[in-house]
Amino acid sequence: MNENKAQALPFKGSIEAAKKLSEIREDADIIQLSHAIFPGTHCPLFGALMVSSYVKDLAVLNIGTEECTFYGKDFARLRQKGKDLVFSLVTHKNDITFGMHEKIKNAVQWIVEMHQPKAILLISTCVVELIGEDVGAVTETLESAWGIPILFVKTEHFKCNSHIPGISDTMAMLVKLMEKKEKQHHVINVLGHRFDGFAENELAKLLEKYGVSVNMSIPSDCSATQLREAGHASLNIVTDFTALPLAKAMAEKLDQPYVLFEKQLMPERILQGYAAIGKYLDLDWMDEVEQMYNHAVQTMAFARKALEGQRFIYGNTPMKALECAHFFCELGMKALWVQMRELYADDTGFIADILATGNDPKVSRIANIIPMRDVYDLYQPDVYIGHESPMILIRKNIKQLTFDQEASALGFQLTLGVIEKIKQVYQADSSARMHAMGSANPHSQSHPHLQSHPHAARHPKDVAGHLHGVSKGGFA
Amino acid sequence: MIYQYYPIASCRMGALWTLSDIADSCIVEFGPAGTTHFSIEGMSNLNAEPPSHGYTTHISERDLTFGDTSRLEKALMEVDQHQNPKYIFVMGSTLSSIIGTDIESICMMMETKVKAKLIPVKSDGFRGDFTYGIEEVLMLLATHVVRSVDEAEKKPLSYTLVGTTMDVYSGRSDIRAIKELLYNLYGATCHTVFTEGSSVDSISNAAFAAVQIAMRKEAHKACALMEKAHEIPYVTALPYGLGGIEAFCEEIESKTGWVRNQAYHQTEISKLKGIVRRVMEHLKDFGPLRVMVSGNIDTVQGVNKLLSEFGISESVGLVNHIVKNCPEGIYDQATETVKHEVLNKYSPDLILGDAVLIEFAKCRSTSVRWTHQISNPNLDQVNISHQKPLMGIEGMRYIGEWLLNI
Repeated sequence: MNENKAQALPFKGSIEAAKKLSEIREDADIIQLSHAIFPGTHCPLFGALMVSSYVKDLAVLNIGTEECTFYGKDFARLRQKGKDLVFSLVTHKNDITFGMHEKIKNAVQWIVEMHQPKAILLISTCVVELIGEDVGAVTETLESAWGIPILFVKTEHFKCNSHIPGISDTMAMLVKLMEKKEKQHHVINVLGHRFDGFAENELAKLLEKYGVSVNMSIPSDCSATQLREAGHASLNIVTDFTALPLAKAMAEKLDQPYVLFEKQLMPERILQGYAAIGKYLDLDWMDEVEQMYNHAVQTMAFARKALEGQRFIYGNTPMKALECAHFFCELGMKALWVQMRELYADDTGFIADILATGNDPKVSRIANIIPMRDVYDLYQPDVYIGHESPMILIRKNIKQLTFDQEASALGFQLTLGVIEKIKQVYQADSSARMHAMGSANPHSQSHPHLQSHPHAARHPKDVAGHLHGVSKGGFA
Repeated sequence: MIYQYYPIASCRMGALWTLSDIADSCIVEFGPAGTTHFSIEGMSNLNAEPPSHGYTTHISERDLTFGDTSRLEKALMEVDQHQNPKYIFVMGSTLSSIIGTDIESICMMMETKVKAKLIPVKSDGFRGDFTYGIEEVLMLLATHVVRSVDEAEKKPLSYTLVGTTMDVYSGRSDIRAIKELLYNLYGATCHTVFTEGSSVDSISNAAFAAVQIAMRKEAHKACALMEKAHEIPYVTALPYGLGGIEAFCEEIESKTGWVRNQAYHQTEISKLKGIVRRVMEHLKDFGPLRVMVSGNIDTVQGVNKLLSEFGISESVGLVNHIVKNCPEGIYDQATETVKHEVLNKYSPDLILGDAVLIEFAKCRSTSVRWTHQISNPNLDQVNISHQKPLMGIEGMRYIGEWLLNI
C-alpha cells in the first residue's frame, strides 16, 4: 500500500469503518461508504418493469411522475426491443389533491379499447404511494367493467433499498392469472429466468433429453393467456430467489411443489440442484450430470493454476454476490472487497464458504462507486468484477470482468462461460500490454503508461499466458 | 393523459439535463436513489453521456414521515469536503416537494458549514415542463456562476452560446455550424456554451465574451440577466435559412460592430441560392408538399422558415412543450393524442420531427411518404455525428441535401 497516497484519500475513514465479512451478522452491518451516493440502486419500479414487460398480452400501466414514466418506458422498450406493452399515466400536482381513480379508470378503458390485452398490471410508484392513493381499490371495479384480470403492484423506493422487491412482488402477482389444472407427468415450469432464449440453456436441453418438457418460463417466455395453463406442470424449477414468493403462492394455489436451481457457479451446488430436480422427476440422469460436473471441476482446476493470487474486488453481476465471490475464491483468487445489495437468508452459508478459503474481504453497499475509487488505490486489485467506468479502471491498470451475457446460462454452462470470459479478458489485457511494450522505444522499461501503474510491476507471471496454455490443454 | 411512449418531460428533468452537460458540475439530489439511477441511464435516450457528478442521498419512509433532512446535510458536507467543488447544485425531488422540504432554507442553513457555494434548484417536478427547468438552471448559472470581469479583459471577437443542452437533437451540430459561420464571417470564436460540453470554469468566465447568442427562448431571461450584470448584449435571431442567417448577422453586427467578410458571405450565399434553386426544381414534380415539423418551439419555427425558402410553405408545427401565445399553425403541448389528431387532420407528405411522431406515421396508413428525425424524444436513433445541423450555412445544406434525395 502506498501510505502517502492512502493518507490523501478522502473516504479512508469510512473505508476503514467497513466491516469484514466475518463480522457481518445482520443487514445493518453492511455500511454505505458515503452519504452522497452515485449512481444509487435501481428502484422497485425497475424490477417490476423488468418482469412484467416480458409477459406477452399483459399491458402495464405505470402510474407516476414524468421521470418514472419516461425513464421506465425507455428501459422497458430497450429491454423488449420495442415490443413492450408498457403505458404511462402521469401524476400531476392536482392529482395529489383530487386523487387519480377516474384517470386510472379512463386509462384502463383506453388500453382495453386500443390494445385488447388479456390482463393489465397497474404499477404505483413513489409519489402515488406517498399521497396514499389507493390504486388497489379500483382493481375490482375495473375487472368487472372489462372482464379481464387487473393486477396491482406497489413499487415505492422509500420503503426499501433496491429493485428486488419490485421483481418479487410482480412475479408473485402473476399467480392471479393462473388456474388449477390437471398435472401432467414430466412437465415443468421455470420460475425466475429473466433472459431470452431459455430453450438454449443447458438445463432446458438436459430436461428435453430426459423427456421432460418445459411448460413455460416465467417471466422470460410466457403470455398472460399461457399463464392460465401454468397449473399443468408437476414441478416448478426456481432459477432465481426473487421467484420464491411466486413459487410459494403457486404451491398454495395450484398444489405444485418447487425446487431451487439457482444461477450459481460452484459445481457442487449445481450438482445438488440437478440431483434435486432428478429426485422430484425421477430422472436417471446423474451419470451424465456427474460427467458435466467433473468437466467443470477440472476446468476450474486448470483456471486456478493461472488465477492463483489474483486480487479482486466484487462490484456486481447478475449472480448472487457472495456465491459468485466464493467461486472466485475457489479459483484461487484473493477477495479484497465485496459490494452487496443486502444480506439474504442463505448468505450465512456462503459467508462460511468464503471464510473457509482463507479470505475475509471487507463489505460495503452496492451502487456507490465514488468512494470505491479510493478502495482501488488502497487495495490495488488486479481485477474488478462488475460495472465501472472502463477508463477509470484502465488508468489504474485494473482489469474488468462483467458477465451480463454469460449470466443467461444456467448449470455448468454458466461456470464454463464465466471461466471462458475470464480467459478472454486476461488474453486481451496481455495483448494490450504486449502491444504497449512493443510500441515503446527500446527503453520500454520506462514507458510512461506502464510506469504510471504500480500494478505493472506486480505481475511476476503472465497470467494470460497461463490461461492461454490452459486453453490449449483444458478448455478447447 | 395516457402515453404509449413518453410523456412531456418535467421541469426536474430539464434542470438535470441542463446541469448534467457541464463536465464538473456537482449535483446533490434529495430523493429516492432509483430516480437518480434511472435519469443517469435515461440520458442515453438523448444520445448524451453526462460528464457531471450527480449524487443521490436516497430517502426513506422515516425521512418523509419526520421531515428529516439530515441525509442531505451530511451529503452536502461530504461532497464539499471530498470533491471540493466551487458550487453544489442542490435539488429536491417530487417526494421532498410533497412533504414541503425547503431546499432553499437548507442551503442557507448549511452555508456556514461548507466552502462551496450552494445553489438551490427549484425545479422539483411539479412546476412545469422541461423548459421551466432549462430556463431556471440557465438563470441560476447566469446569476451565481458567471463572474464579473473588467472591461479591458473582455475579448472583443468572442461570443457565448446560451441554451444548447442535451435535449436538442441537433444541438452539437448547431454549435459547430454557428462556430464555423461566425469564424468565417467575422473571425470570432466561441468563448463558452451554456451548457453542452461545458465546464464550471468556462461558464464562470462567460462575461469575457463580447456578445451572447440565445440559442432558444428559454435562454432569453439568462441572457437579459447577463446583459444587465455584465453589459454583454445578446442576440435572439437564429440562423435558420437564408433569411435567418441574414437577420442573425445583422443583429450581431448591430450589437457588436463586427464587420463581416463580404467576399466569404457573398460566395456562400450565392452557393446556397444555387442549392435552393436546385431543390425547388427537384420538388416541382411532386406538386405542393405538406410538411409536419415537431420539436421545441425554436426548432419548429426555424425549420418551417427554412423549408419555406425551399418552396414548402404548407406546414404545421407540433411543439413538445407549453408555449405562451402559441403562434398560428403550431400546436403546443403536443401529447401523443395531439400528434395522432394532427396527423389525421393534415395528412402530411413529409415529416421532420421526433421519433414518436415518425413512429405513429409509420404505424398508421397515413399519407406520409418521407420522414426524417430532427428532434427528441428519441427511440432508437444513434446520433453521434456533429455534422447534421439545422442552423447556419451547413444546416441549409443538410436539409437541402435531404430534400434532393426524396
